[in-house]
Amino acid sequence: MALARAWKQMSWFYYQYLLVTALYMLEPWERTVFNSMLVSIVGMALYTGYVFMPQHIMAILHYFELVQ
Amino acid sequence: MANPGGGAICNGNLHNHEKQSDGSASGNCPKNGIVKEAQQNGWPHVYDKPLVESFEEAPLHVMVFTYLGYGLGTLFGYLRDFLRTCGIEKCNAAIEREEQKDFVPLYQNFENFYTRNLYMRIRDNWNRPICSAPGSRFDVMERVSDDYNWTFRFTGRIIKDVINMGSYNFLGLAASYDESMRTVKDVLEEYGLGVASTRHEMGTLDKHEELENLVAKFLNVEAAMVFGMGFATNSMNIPALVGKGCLILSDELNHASLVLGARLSGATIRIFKHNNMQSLEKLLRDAVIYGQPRIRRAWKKILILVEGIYSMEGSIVHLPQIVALKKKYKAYLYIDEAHSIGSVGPTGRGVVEFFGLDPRDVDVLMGTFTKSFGASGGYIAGRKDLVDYLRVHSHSAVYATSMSPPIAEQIIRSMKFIMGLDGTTQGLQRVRQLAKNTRYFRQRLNEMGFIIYGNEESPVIPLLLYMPAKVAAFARHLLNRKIGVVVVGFPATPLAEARARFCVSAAHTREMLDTVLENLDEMGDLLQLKYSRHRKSARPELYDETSFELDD
Repeated sequence: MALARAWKQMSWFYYQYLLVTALYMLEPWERTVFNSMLVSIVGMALYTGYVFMPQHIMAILHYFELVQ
Repeated sequence: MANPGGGAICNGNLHNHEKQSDGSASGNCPKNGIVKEAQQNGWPHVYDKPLVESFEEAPLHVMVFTYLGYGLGTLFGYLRDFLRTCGIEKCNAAIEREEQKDFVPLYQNFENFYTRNLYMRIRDNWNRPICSAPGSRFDVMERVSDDYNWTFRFTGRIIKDVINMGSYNFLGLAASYDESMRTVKDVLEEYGLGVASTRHEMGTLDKHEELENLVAKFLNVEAAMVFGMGFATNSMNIPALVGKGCLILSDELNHASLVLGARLSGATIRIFKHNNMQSLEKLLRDAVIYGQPRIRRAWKKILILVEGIYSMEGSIVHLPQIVALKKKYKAYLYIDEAHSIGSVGPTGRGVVEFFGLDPRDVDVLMGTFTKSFGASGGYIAGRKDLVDYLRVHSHSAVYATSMSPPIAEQIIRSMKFIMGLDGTTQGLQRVRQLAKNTRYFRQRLNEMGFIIYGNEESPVIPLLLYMPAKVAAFARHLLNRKIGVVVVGFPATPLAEARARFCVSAAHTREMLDTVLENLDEMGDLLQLKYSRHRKSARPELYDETSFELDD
């Protein structure tokens, strides 16, 4: 029951995303192209953040002289 | 000296008595907030009421997403054009022939790019064929497309009883045959359909004479002349009135027929900001002070071109101020009352009556019979010598076929109906019903939180949609719910301000309007269209009043 409601809510959000970015007007293959480009760029950003986060945090703590 | 009308004119500066909610000092239509103006005329009369117009600006994120949407569409448009030129995709649009590839390109400009790549994708929302009279309900032919709107085919089914919110059927006179149209049938039997001649040769019928006398009586002017086509009335008669050495001051948002007529005339055209009296006054002052551009002689004539109701904005022209300016600077005024004749004013006589002015103040009153009278054609009315001049010199009278007799009879019948000359008060009741419907519809839409443009009393109601995808989704969803609306996008409106335009009619009953409003409410929530930040309550006057004295 909750899963059905969650699914409906997610599909409403996806519909809003299609409307706002004008993907609603494009053909299905164009939507696939755009969505895959968006997912890959966001994925790359998240992965880079995940890989470099410890180094960045150590550099910040070093700068504020909280740790050697 | 008594104020000539429309605000106090002191030392050449036109001050409007305004209460503005955002405090900006200039302009009649600030982008944020609601403008109220007290209309004051030189002679005392009872029609003194504040004019409420609003042109609210959208929130920033809406404009950002609108431009992003168009940007994405443009990028994909470039991609598709590349695929088409490479030959990977079949090109369905018009292209030049092989032999012409070395010539100047025909289809590369932005307008064609836009049509091919953006308009084609959502083209099914326009040019929908209907198959019944455009009354308050009509029948739409169902059509589908198999190749993303490049071609359509009809399924053979008809969507019946779609509520009509798009036709310019303000008084409900564009209906299918009923007994009151008997005179039209008689005229058809007696005169036939074709006139087969121009006004100058053998095309002037007694029906035209009867119609012209009736139009002059309706508008309370000396004389009138009718033409077969409304667009041609503007474009063919403005060149007859002004020529080289004259100056035309035309509103920013004038209709294409006025623009075409102005360009054809050969006069100098200067544009003032939409409904902005300060801009118009500045242009008038410069014209009178500096004269013609190089020779510095006085202009032969200065003609101000405005419309009664602007169909894309729903705004009503600020007529008292324009009449005051025209009298001060000795200019001529030409009003195109295409949408306002028959639909505003206490007895439906148009904007002149709406503001309580004298029709003799306006030099050329032009209008069309397409909107409120359920026929086709246009008229020009004014002083007798003006109309006599046009009878001789108008291009339309010399070259165009005159109005067909059954259409003239339909206009005569509608006009008598509105004036009450057929013995009933139904015409007046319809005008009042239209005003009631307009106020109700606008008030409910404002309460729901949509952004609506225009004057409170105008029956043309643009509802702003902004994003191109929402334009398409809106029209499609509403047709599924059996409501027919007109949506307007880029070339007719600015790029970022796509809108849906509702035309309220006297034939709409309260139930129909309530059905439409319920569906609009649901659509507003489904598509997130309720952008307005100034949710008006049911009684705005009480909250915006600064004092409760009887005389302000």
